[in-house]
Amino acid sequence: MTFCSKSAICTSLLWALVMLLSGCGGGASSGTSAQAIVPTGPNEHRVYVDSGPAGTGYNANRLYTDVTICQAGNSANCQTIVHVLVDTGSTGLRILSTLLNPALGLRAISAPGGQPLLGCVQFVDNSFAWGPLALADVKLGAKAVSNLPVQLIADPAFRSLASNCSSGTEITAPDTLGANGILGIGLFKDDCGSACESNPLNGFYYTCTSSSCATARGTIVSRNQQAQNPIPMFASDNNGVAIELPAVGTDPAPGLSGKMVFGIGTRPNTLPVQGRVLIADSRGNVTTIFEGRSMARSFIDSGSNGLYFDTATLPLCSGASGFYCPASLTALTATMVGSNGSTIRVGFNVDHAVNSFTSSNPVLPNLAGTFGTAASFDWGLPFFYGRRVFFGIEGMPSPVGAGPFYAF
Amino acid sequence: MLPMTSKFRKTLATALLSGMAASAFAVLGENTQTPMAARQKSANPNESLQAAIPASLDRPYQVHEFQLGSGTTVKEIATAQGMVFAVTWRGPVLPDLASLLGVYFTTFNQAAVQARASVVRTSTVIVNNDGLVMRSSGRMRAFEGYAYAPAMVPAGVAIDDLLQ
Repeated sequence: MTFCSKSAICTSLLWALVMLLSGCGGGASSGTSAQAIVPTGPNEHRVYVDSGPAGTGYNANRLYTDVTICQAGNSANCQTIVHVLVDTGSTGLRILSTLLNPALGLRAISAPGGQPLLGCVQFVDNSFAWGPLALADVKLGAKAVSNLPVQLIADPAFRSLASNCSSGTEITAPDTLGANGILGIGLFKDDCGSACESNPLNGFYYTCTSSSCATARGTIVSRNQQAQNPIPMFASDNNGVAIELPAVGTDPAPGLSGKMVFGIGTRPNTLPVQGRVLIADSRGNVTTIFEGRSMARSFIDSGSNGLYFDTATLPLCSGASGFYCPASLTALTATMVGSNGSTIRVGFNVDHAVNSFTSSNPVLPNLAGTFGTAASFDWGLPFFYGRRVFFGIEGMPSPVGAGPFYAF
Repeated sequence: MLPMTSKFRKTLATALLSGMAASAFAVLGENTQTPMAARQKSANPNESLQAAIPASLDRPYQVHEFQLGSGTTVKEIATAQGMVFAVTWRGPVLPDLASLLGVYFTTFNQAAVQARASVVRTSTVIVNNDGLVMRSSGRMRAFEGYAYAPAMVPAGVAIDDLLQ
């Protein structure tokens, strides 16, 4: 899931303001102002929460990063896209095509049959991202990957075929996405996986039926041509990622800055604590035990802007559909359980959502709402504040075992 | 998933013989007996009937479960007379919600547009109207949701239990 902006400078200014405000506290820790976590190593890259791309409305709890995209094989022809959503709930890099400099000349990927490969990504609100796949060289800080299949969202050349993807609302600009693109770096290597290697009706991939591209049909596609998680394609530090964000306290905050650390156990201080690794199933699910209920389809998702779970003990807001509005800050606990039997107890807070919106701040540490079905607990971005959360990629070995796993 | 009891297999075999298995899932608010041609408009026409539970004296509803070509499972829950009052879905991609929701798609679409315009939107879709109750949630490879028309739910049916 997602949202977006154009000014990295704006981001820097906002962060400077945060630091200034922290300074006003005389250096004393009030427990409410976030400390920046600064990337230092060659396997680290900055992430941030701010108000998002200009003109895209109120973006709360959206984690962004900057992604440098280069013409394949030409490191002199690059463009940096800011405000790309960091989404551990999806896989693959997707950028709004209208934001890309045409001079990048990204080379389209062909489907079996020789016509362009077209991708379809759906979101729960029936909005969708439609567009061709192309190869690019991509940099996340010092980490680089060559020939990464990237989806170009809403490429004008293929928009007439969008209804093949969905009857919903096509994402064509940052305001519908709240971001300039999506960097999907979850537990999986590719967006569809093996299902798309044999089944042309997979719902993820399409191709033109002829060179005129007047009509489209579903197509099979090999895993290495699907939208890819770039991390396994790194030459090193390629078995997973940790997202590390500063603690926030209980009040809304104007922004924060943290880092992604690539590689699990590949360098000093990149190992999860023993016993805090939760192996996930093939869908990326673990179990959450909450209020005596066992919620077997639970997951950790940086692309969700709140904690989403069903409970009868918190009142829903009257002015904001789906969010919780308890009268006062409410402390709760749950336990996450991996398929390996590891358990981790988690404390979290829920506050009055509508009141928190009046701050207009993008960092809302206590935002929660209903998920809609009782078997899932969606641990969204508030869960990440003050934590280092590891994502072990499927099939990639690490000192704490092979993915898919979460650890924190 | 519905249990594959031997009684059920028999039901399915009967359905196959009567030509029913070729049909697409039915549409919310419409009759399961809608002619085949009208039910083939889904984006994934290759649905296959996976399971069926008939209505009975102590069960005033019937359930049909379909698997779409994409691998996503759709369940339609209908009155004994065949009127679909609830649908659920779970799987790697969303079903075509326009086909699945029928006349209720407009209501859902209005709610989705409204949600996008709200100050901060949830990562799930919530519709709580007199005419339609709907939840749509999940993420890539793992979508799930349901929709039902409250006025059409037969008396004595605990709708919340049916949707799990």
